[in-house]
Amino acid sequence: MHYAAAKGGMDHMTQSLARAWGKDNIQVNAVLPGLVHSEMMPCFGPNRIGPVVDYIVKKTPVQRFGMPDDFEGISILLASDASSFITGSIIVADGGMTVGGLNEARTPQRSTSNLSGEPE
Amino acid sequence: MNSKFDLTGKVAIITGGNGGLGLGIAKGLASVGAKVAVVGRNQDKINNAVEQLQAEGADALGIQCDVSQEDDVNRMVKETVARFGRIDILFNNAAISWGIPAETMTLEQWNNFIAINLTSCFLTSKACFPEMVKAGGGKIINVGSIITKLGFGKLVHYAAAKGGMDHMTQSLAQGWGKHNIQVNALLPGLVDTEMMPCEGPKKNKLVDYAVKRTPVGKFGRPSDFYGISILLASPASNFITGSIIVVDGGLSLSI
Repeated sequence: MHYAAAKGGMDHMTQSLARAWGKDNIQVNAVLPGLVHSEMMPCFGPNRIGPVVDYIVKKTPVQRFGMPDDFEGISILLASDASSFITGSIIVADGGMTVGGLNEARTPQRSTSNLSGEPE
Repeated sequence: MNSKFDLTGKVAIITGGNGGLGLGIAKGLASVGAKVAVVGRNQDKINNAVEQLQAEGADALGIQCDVSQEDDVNRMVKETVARFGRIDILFNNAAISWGIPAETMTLEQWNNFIAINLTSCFLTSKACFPEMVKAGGGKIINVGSIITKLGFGKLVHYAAAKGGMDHMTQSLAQGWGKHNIQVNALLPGLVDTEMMPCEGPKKNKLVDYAVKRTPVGKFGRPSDFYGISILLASPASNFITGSIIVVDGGLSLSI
């Protein structure tokens, strides 16, 4: 909850700073990563948080966790003049995790919850 | 340049690519090596777009097509594959828009707007799918509108179509992820195009008001979309799918 509240604050700070500082030619955007291998969330190696990683990867459209270098492209874009018309944008970069049916998987007791239309 | 932005050897279809934002996207993709098929209804505009692209050194193909017609869309795919051998990238950018209040709109008008602005995305995505699977994956980018973050009483039909597009983006991303196809949406704000002239004699009366309210203090130009288009069309975005990305200079925050 504390983490979510802080990150929610960040999203809205992004939008308000974008609006306030636009006239100073400062663009402010947010990137929302999903599951990314890092010290905070080890996805492989001895400290790997296995059940969580396996569960999320299974439900993520790109079928893998992210690596730090997956963020090179979006970072270069947002740091460069190529994004001078982008400000106040909140950009999800999660391999589709949040559209990947995690809610569906959370309620396995409902036999009608297989919304993909494919056999489990 | 980071090699993840390189589109050498990749083939892109851009619907509505014969002018405005679509032609800007085509130029952006071509600038990093993509071969581009620009699709539209007006043959003169197609010829002009292909000439502009070729003048910039692009390998460009023009295809006349009504994207609301399934036979036309299937031919579009065949012609692209016949010329370039594959399809890696699809920009669903074709759209029409003018204001009609819902209370006076006929069903025929409604169906026409939905067919061109929304059903077209289904037809093109479906037709490109087998080619993307053959190519080992693909990128679909739906060009929506910040109207889905706002509300306009005279553009209910346009908003409904674009809202459908946003949610099609998320569900296609979920459905086709296992085929290595990433699906994202761009939501442009005010951009100087034929649909919304921002300067000159046909300048839209909304422009001054909107620019004043836009944090970056300007309207967009098609070239402002080179960066995000290259990102979403290239391996640099392989971990981005189902995302809906506002590109409006902050306009939707400010009205």
